[in-house]
Formats: sequence, C-alpha cells, structure tokens
Amino acid sequence: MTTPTAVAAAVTALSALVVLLSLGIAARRSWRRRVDLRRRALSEPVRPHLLELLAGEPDEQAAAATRLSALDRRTWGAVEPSVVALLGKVRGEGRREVVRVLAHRGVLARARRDLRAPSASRRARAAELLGVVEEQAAVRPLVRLLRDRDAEVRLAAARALGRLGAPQAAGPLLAALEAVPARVPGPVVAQALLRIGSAAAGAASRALASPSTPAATTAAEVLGRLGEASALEGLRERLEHDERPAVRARAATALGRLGLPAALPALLPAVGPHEDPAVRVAATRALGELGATGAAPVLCALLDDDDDRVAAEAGPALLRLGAHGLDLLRRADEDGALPGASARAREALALAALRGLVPAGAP
Amino acid sequence: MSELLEAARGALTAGLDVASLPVLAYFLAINTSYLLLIAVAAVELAGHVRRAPYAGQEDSYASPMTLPVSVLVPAFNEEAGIVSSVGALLALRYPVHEVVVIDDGSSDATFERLRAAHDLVVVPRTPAREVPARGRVLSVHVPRDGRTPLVVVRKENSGRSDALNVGINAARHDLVCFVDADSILDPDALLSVAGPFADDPDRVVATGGAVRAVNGCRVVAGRVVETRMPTGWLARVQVVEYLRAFMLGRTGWSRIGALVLISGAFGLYRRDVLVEVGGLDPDCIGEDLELCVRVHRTMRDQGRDYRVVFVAEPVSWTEVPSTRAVLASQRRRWHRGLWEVLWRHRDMIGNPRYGRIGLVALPYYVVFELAAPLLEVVGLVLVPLGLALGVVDAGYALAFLLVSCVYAVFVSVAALAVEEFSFHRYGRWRDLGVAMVVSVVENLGYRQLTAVWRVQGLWAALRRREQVWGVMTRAGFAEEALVPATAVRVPLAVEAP
Repeated sequence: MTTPTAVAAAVTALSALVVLLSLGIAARRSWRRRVDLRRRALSEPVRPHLLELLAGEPDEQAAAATRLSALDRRTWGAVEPSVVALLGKVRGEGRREVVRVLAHRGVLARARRDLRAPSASRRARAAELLGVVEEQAAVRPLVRLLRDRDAEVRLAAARALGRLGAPQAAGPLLAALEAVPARVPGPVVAQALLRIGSAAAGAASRALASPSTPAATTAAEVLGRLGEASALEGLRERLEHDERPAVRARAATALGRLGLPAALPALLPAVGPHEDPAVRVAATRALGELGATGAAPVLCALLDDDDDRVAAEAGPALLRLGAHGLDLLRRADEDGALPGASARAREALALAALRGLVPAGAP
Repeated sequence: MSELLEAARGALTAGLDVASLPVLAYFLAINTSYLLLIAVAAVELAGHVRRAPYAGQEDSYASPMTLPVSVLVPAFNEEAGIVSSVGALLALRYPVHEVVVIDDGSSDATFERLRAAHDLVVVPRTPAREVPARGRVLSVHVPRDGRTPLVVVRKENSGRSDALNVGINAARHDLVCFVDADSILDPDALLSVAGPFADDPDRVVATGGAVRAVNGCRVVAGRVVETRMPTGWLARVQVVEYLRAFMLGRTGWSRIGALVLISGAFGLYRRDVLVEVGGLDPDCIGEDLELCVRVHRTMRDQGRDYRVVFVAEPVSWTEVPSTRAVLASQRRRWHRGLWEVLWRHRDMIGNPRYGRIGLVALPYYVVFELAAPLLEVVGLVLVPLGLALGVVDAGYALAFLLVSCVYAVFVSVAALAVEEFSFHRYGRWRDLGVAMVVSVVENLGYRQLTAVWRVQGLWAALRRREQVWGVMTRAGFAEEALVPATAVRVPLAVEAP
C-alpha cells in the first residue's frame, strides 16, 4: 500500500505551499514598507511646496508650481499622487496652478491617451482624473466611454462628465439609461445632470416621456431638483397620465420641489385612495412643499389615512402651510373625533415646538 | 467481558474500514471549499482595491441622490457604551442618516445616559404598524434641538429581534441599517455599504458589511485608530477566524451570487423589502440568517431579479468573546440557530426553484457547516478508542491528522495572504507572526472545542424542538431575553471556520 508515501507527499507539498505563501506575505509586506519609506524620503523635501500650493499666497503658489514642474522624474513619481489629491482640496488660483503642473508634467496628456488604454482600470482612472481637472477637451472621448464594455469605466465617465459640466453630455447621459440594463445607474446620471445644471434641463424634459423607466424617473428627479419651472407642464402630464407608478411618484415629488401653485390641481387627485401607495406618499409630501393653503382640507383628511406612511406625511405637510396649517393641526388635535388624526396632529405640533415654529409647551 | 470487547473491536474495525476513506474525502472537500471561496474572494478583492481610487466615494458623499439611511441600534443594558456608540454613529460620514436607538426595556441607566447626553424630550408619535412587533412602545424621544437626527424608542423588553422590528416601524428612511450597540463602524462604513444600492438601484435589496474583531485595537472616541492583535489566544484565534470565514468567506459567496448570511452586527436592507417579508422572526435564534434566507425566498418566489451583496471594506468592529464560557454559549447559539433556520427552510434545500441559494448555498450549509462538527466529534471519540483497542493503526491515524491539519493551516495562511495583498489592516510584524502561529495552533484544541460546543448547540436544538412543538415557544423566547448581556450582544452570525 502506498498510502504512507501518498500522505507524506501530500503533507510535504502542503507544507511547502504554506512556507511559500508565508514568504510571499513577508515579501509583500517588506516591499510595501520599502516603497512607502522611499516615497516618504523622496517627497519629504517637496512637502513645503505642496503646502504652499494648498494654503500659500498666489505668488508662493506660482513659485511652488514652478518648482514641482522642474522636479526630477523619481521625485515627481513619488509626489504625483499627493499633487493629484490636492485637486480635491484647493480652489481658485491654487487649483489652476496644480492643473498647470499636471499639464506640464504630461499627466493630462497621459490621461487622454489612457482613455483608450486596453486596461479598464487605466481608462477609469484617466476618466476620473480628467473629470477632476475639468479638462473640457475630454468631453467627446468621455461621452464615447459611456458605451464602454466595462461598467466601472462607464461610471467613471458619467461622473467625470458631470464634473465637466458639459451641456452636450446631458443627452448621452440620459441615453445611457435607456439601454436595458441601464449602462450607468440612474442616481449617478442624476448627479451628473445636476452638476451640469440648467443646461441639462432641455434634455431632461425630452426624456420625461421616455419609455425607459430609469430615464423618465431620473429626468423627473433632476428637473425637480433644478427647480426648472419650464418643466411644470411635462411633469403634470406625467403625474396625470403616465402608467408607471414609479414615474408618477417622481413627478409628484418634482412638482413639490418646483413649488408652483399651478401644480395643485394635478397633485390633489394623486393622494386619492385609488392611487399607488408610493405615489400617494410622494404627493402628500409634495403638497406640503408646495405650501398652497388650498391643499389644507385634503391634508387634514389624510391625517387619519389607513396608510401609515401617508398619515405620517400629512402632519409635517400641514406644518409647511404656515399659520393656516398650524391652526388646522391644533383643531385636529383638540377635536377628539378621530383619535388617529389627533395623534398625528399632536406629533406634528410637538415637532413644530422643538423647531421653534410655535412657542414651546403649546399643545 | 472479553467477548464483548472482541465484538466492539470487530464493529469498530468494520466501521472504521468503511468510514475512513469517505471521512478523509470529506475533510479534503471541506477545506477545498474554503480554499475555493478564498480564491474567489481574492479575485473580488483585487478588483475592489484596484477600483478604490475611482469608486466615487466622495461623489456619493456629495450626492443628493444618495439614499438616506435609518441606523437601528437595539440596546439592552448598554449604559457603559451607549453614549459614545450613538455619538460615533451620528458622526458617520453620510449625507443624510438618522440613528434610531431601541431601548429594549433596559433595567440600567441606558436611557438616562442618552437623555443626559442629548437632552431628550418625549414626543407623541404614532408608531407605524407595517411590521408586526410584540413589545409595547412606551415612549418616543428626540433631542430638544429638533435637529439632531436621533430617535430613542423605549419599549417593554421583548428581545433583540423584536426590538429591531419596532425600529423598522420607527425608521423614516428607505434604507435600514442594523448595528449592534457595541459595534464600532469605520467612518466611511455606511457610505460603502450603501454603495451597491446606488450602483444597482433596481436590483440590490440587501448588503452586508464585514465584521472584524475589535479586541486589542486602540479605540478613541468610538473609532478604531490602530488595529492590533489582542493579547489572549482565544481572541487571537477568532481574529483569524473572522477574517477567513466572515470576511473572505462571505466575499466569495457574494461574488458567486449566493450570500445567505448578513451579520446582524452590520447589515443594510431596503425598508420596503423588510416590510414585505414581515421583519425579523423573534422566535428564531439564528434571526439574522433566517431574515436573509427569507428575503431570498420571497424574492425568488416572486421571480424578482435581485441581489444580496457583501462589502468587505471598510468594516464594523465587534468585541469577540475572550472567555471560554462566553465563546461556548455563543457557538452553541450559532449552531442551534443554524439548525433552526435550515430546518424551517428545509424545502428550499436542493430545490432548483431557489437557484443558487437552493442548489449551492443551503446544501453547502447542511453538509459543511451543520454536519462538520458532528463528524469532528465522532472522530474525536472513535480514533482514541480505536487506538486504545488496537484496531486503528497509529501511523495511519497520525497521517490522517497531519494531512487535515496541514491543509487547514494552508487555508488560514491563504486567507492571511489575501488580507496582506488587499487591506493589510494589521501593520505590525508582530501581529503577522501571531496570526501565523494562530493558523497552526487553532487546529490543536480550538477547533475541537468549538466542534463540541456546536454539537451541544445542535443537540439543544433537537431536544427543544420535540418539547416545543407549538406551545413552549414564548417561554423559550423569554429565557433568551434574560441571557446576560455579554451573551446577547455577540453578533448572530452562523458560519464556521
């Protein structure tokens, strides 16, 4: 029987692997430490320049930038990550100096080339950097990267386009949501469009009626947060006629954010008992944000709604209507006919007292 | 007498002859499965580390689109640490989050400490009834400033799970995060664990964060500022165990789309999904595992395209038991919970309707988690017996032991290697040395002890089931609530090394 030999071989092989792995761990650790030490040693003399860039007077910043531009390659290699990290911390002239250094050192040119690199992580890193330095020349290649085969690259490109604030990217960003599955997540597109600002409103308005739910909800979200008054009609249309509850709910929220009284006739039916629960919650909240006293009786009735979520929104919504809402809440509190409504009213009044909206201690 | 001995010897010989090969195969298979999970985790973590510079964490911190989170903290007699815990949770880097403390009928000064620290005042609040909850809510409190996003719900004692259900009802945001009152979260932990919900908003229903052992680390103001190995060997072994099983194991499961356990010490769920599945089951001991399995079940039953994701970094830190008694009771509970959950969902096991969960994850738990300690204990009894009776060849037994030990050491060292190449949290050489030694010594005593405790837990579960059948449930549950705080506090995660 060869069992003992087999066992011995297995034990030896496994032990060898254990030793190998242990050596690997130790080697990795020493290597990392050496790299850290070297980087620290090389960058230590340059640190004052980084600080000047971060917090110095304009002339100091310019001088520091010049010195960084003239560093030898090894030292530059050690401080490059720290210089790039400065971008998130400095503004104004200092920031322009940092970008100038990066351009001078060829970092930006390399990033533009890297947008076509075979490695996905290089493409993504390049997109990220070009976004942070707001390199306007990169808009077109970044738009192209919205169709990249790697999800992380598409994400990085979408975020970079937002930072660049390029209006021409709004359409392609929304188009990325229309693919199934979406090429970029909705919240990331929304944030990018918000960074682009009003210039994205046109594309968002057009996407409102998109057959793609992520595109339509994202468009509604963005229009509401941008406060685009011109979107009122489109959002009303969605709230009243869209077949998708998710789109109706976002449209209701957006109408609340716009705060235009003209939205009232569309929002009132949306809290009706036959609506989808999510839409009702969104519409109740939106009625409060609108601040139109015309909504008060409806909101009062919702204090006793069967849906806890709707009832919980009705009180704070009434508070937002100001004196009239407060008055109605007090009356609902005193009128004990509907215990549920009284409790909700008391809850809202207590909140108002804490926030100093009404004198503390007042019921 | 000698006849009896002879018969026993014969039976043992026959038994060992039949069993020795399958047992060897089993031990090889179990360690190979760990190794595979670690390998899968290594691939996943390599990507994670590579992506970190462009993962957009700063963007999600700045984004108004990041979903608000309600952090639920069940607290039962936590007066010592509650104020610093809540302070640290309120200070987490996250755009919008609230902290909901559920004071589960504490008999100490838990609530008084919070009231003093945050100037709490009673507010009338109608609790939602979306998730069934047993414990009556006594009062709801918020800070007087009306701005600090803290809510303290006082309720009658009804156990951790029910407290969490009360918390789900009280939560106002769309994402609900479970943490233990003594958990310490890294500053960016919430941002990372919520990340998958933003990246895949339509599909992700739950995410779990990694849990590491805080013992030995330097903690200042509710933050881990320096990671170190603990001094006691019991805790040291658990550091390696958490790393290997909880962090890398779950990363592997998550990568293959079959993560069935999110630790109650740090998990994030969509609130609407929690409402849909009815919250946690207060009668189940392995409530965290049970919840996660039930979420899978509900999603698959409805044919929904969904994901449950594990996030390995940054992490939540929890204190692991440093005494044998507490560790024993923890492991008994875990194993008893594992049995209960698997028994309750036995129709899912091997059921193709439940995809990878039914065909891979749950059968794996039965074969390699539930049964492993049983086999280990049987071996612990039979092999010495066989040696004593002279039917087991000492050389063969030694060889068997050696192979299984060396393989286990290899698995642990592989886990340490993945840690070294990814997060390398333990910076000191000393700690690395200790971890290496642990990889060897855990096989000599610790593994066997935990196996015994786990079998005890299994036994307790089986016995209890016979008694209970319908009537005694509440009594057993009340007893659970009375377990000393140290035992209750441990994260209920059921997974073996």
